[in-house]
Amino acid sequence: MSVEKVRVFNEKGIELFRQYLHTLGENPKAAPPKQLLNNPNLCAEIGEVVKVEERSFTTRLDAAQYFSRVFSGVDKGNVDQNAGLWSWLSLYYFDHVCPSDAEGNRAPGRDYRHIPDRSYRYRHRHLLAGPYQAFQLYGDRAMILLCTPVQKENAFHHEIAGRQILMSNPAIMETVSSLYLDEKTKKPKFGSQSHGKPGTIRRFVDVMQQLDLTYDLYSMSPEQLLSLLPAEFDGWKGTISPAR
Amino acid sequence: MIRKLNFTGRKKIPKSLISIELVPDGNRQFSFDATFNLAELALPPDAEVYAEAYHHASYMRFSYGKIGKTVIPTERKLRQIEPGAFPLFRVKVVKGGRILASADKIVPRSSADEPKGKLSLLPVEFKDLADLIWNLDLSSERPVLQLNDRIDGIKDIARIDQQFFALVYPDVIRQILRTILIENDYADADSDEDDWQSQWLRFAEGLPGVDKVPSDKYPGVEEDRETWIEEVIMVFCKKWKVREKFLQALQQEPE
Repeated sequence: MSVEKVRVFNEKGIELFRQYLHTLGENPKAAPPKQLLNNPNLCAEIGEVVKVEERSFTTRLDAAQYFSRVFSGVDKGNVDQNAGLWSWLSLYYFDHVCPSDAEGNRAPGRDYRHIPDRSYRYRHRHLLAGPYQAFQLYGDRAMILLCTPVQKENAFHHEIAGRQILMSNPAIMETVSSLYLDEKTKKPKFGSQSHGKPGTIRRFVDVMQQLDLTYDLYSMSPEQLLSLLPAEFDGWKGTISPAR
Repeated sequence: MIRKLNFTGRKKIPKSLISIELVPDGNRQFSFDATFNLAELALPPDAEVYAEAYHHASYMRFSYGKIGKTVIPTERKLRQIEPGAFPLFRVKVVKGGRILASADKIVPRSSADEPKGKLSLLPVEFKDLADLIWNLDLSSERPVLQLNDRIDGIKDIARIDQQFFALVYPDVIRQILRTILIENDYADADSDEDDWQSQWLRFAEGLPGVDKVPSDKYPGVEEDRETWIEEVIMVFCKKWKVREKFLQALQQEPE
């Protein structure tokens, strides 16, 4: 098993990685430029000696648990918002965050999935840093946000993680799990991520933002939050998986 | 002007009734001191008072007892706020789970030297910026000037060094006004006294000789706003004698 010292890309390293992502638009079979990973002109070792191994991840939660162990002894200030670090890790695990299809083509999507974006709207969208940050806050209770394959963000993470009043409130997180997580399969209940349907996660976000104007949501228990929800959410309470 | 209607029945706490000051612990973290003067709001004495600090998804909440008998919490260290980050605050008065009064996006004073009641338009935070000297963070609730804490004395450099002032602040103002007027297409200086964009536009309009910001929508307004921004920068530099002070600082440098 290949083990590598973790490094941090400098601006030039990030830029070359970004160029590669854009190259994939024209040549989706282009091989990842792994030679950048240990080029001393493009990256430096993180202060402490930290190593990662070439491995696969079953889910985003699995990846977050792994990076949480890897960085357990490192100053959080050097990890959480470190764009050079997470870009380097994205390239190191590129076969996982941007796997090729049967024809050998890769579709990386927007840059912020691989290179952290500082903006409020996109900072949680990095495919490795986003799960890591959610796991730092909630540990395994972040399951509903992180139950998908590492290259795929679900609607729960997308809708919750970018909103401070939701993401920072443990009772809201617990309410989300209680409504939408199928405890048997450890996956979201069928239909809970749909667009335009009553009681789904997108409606939950709308309703919570409205309630936040009137209620002190931080002082409420999950049971109290559930009791505030309108009738459209009744079908999700205590169900394993609503009728299809 | 966009008028905002409040159907919630909740009172707005004027920020002049709140004073919050960050206290650095020397290890890139803060605690804080807060005082409230909420008597004039005629709130029930048994309503509870909370101060909340937040930065991105990190959040901490502190109970200050009740309106009738406030109690300052002994532990006020912002342990769960990202080290070096500059948090904002909200203050809530709550009864039976309902918010009776609140103030949000409160910018704390970052030192006892800053006068009370003066609005801090540009909070400063110190963090590891690798090889950058400074960075303007436009991704938070309001613009924050980030300074590289790897540089000894950067706080004093930013505070008193005329060359730093001359080279950094005009560009900071340009970036902020471009974000507001061009990227966000926001040009209402009067709508909300608590909105950071309105605050910055009022600051710019308050400079001597600066016209009102072009707020109407018409073909070519973007170019007019770009021109207005450059006028603001020129007036700012003239007001603060930026060129003159820069040259003086250069002459004072040891050979």
